[in-house]
Amino acid sequence: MTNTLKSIPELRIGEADLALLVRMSGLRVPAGDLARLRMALRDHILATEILLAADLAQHAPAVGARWHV
Amino acid sequence: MSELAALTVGEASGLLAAGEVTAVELTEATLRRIAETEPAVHAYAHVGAEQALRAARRADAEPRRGPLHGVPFAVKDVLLTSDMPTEANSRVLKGHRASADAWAVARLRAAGAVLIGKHVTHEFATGQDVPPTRNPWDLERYPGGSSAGSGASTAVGSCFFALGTDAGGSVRKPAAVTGVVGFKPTYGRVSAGGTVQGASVPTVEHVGIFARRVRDTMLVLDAIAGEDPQDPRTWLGPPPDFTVPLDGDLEGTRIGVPHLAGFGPAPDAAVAAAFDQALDFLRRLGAELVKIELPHIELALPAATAIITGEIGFAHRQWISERPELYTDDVRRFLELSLIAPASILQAGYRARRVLQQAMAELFGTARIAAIATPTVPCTAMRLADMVVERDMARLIQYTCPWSLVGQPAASVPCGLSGDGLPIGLQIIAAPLDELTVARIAHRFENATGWHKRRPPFSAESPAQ
Repeated sequence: MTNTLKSIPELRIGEADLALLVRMSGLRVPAGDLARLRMALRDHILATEILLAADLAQHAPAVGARWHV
Repeated sequence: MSELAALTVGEASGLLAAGEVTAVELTEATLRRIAETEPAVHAYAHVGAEQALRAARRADAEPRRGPLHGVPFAVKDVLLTSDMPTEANSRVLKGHRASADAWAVARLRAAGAVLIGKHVTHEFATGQDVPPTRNPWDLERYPGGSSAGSGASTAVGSCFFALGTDAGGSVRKPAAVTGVVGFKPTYGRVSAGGTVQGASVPTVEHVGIFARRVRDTMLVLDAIAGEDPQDPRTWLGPPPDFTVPLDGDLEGTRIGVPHLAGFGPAPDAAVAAAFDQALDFLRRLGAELVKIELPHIELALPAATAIITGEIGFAHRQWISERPELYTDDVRRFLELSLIAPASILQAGYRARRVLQQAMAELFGTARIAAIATPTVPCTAMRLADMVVERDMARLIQYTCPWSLVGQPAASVPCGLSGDGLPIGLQIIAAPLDELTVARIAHRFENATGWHKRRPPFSAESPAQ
């Protein structure tokens, strides 16, 4: 995971990108919280980057957890 | 604690069946215990004394319906109840009353059990805040979450058993740090129908059970397991009889012991020592311990994070847009993140889960193991003053969240106390739909070690210890 994180140190989410996401989601985020939300989104993407980097494509479909008996 | 409030479900049930105690007497004893403990422990969001006494009187007047008939219980305040509010520790849901019970609550009432109240949870069970409940082993410490009140209440005897929900460890974690049994069945074994909107993470949520004995959790599971026609997650076929005897030795039972480093940071010394002792006990009981590697375990926490974050926000879209001030800041920020997180991450989480499910299922076959053993939590209950939720939560769930993610049954059973007198839990995991193997191993361990007999030093006479 460490290697994966090191591989995308340049991940940046611009203010305009975030504003669009927030508007499309119908959220009313206080202006003072936008920077924090941008960092949270960046951290979330980094924390889950290992999933996007893993070779999961052959394991379709992306079904729920229900057991087939 | 009064003798009645200290009984296990099995003991209370036996006395009820023999006519040596009434449901009203058990309910009154539980209400007295609530009055004694709540000023310090804060495990209850709502106590329905009048409703409980009415239900107890009905139970006493009716023929017995089974082993839970007349036994008082409580549920985490995210499970809907028709006669008590369901607020999920949220100002958004203040005063919310449902028209019907959650599936599991309805099943317990149908079995004659007496609902006595609702247990405190984190706000919307998100685990982003610190609830008011305190750990009865040390009132300065974290009681576990998000079923925070359920573990503490079961430990002090202010209920006989409880229902919680578990999407990453929210039943096993509080059970471990309060010294009681927490049992999470297979995903879909118990309907999570009637989990309040806003606290629901549909593809990882489980209804789980808190009790003071393993055997008690099986009595409860027997009453709530099975198909809910309204919940396709539960269409697994008829459940087995969970009330079968659990006694016997573990001769020939192969238990996998994984390298703990794969889960995350190493456990604290006290937890590592208690876990080693627990493994020794299992070996002495006849179990064969097998070193195993858990394939793709490094994907578990990121996948759980992706799924929980992706699923939790949906119900909040309107509330959070119209009344954001009704959320605490950390919870609101988490939900805002949920609502803007890319769908590709959620899809990747689902795919990673499928990979883990297949790999774990294969492992049980190739390694010929009946179960896996790990610590439940890598540390004892933290001091609330030292706790930083954002920093600490991933570590707190590192051993429990993989099994919520893949849906395999798992339980925490007490396995020791640290040097400063805090409980430690042993986690037992089995293959999908094999709750009885978890129960048998945990029950035999419990009987052999006696750790379940240790109760918190808390008493009404010394509320601050």
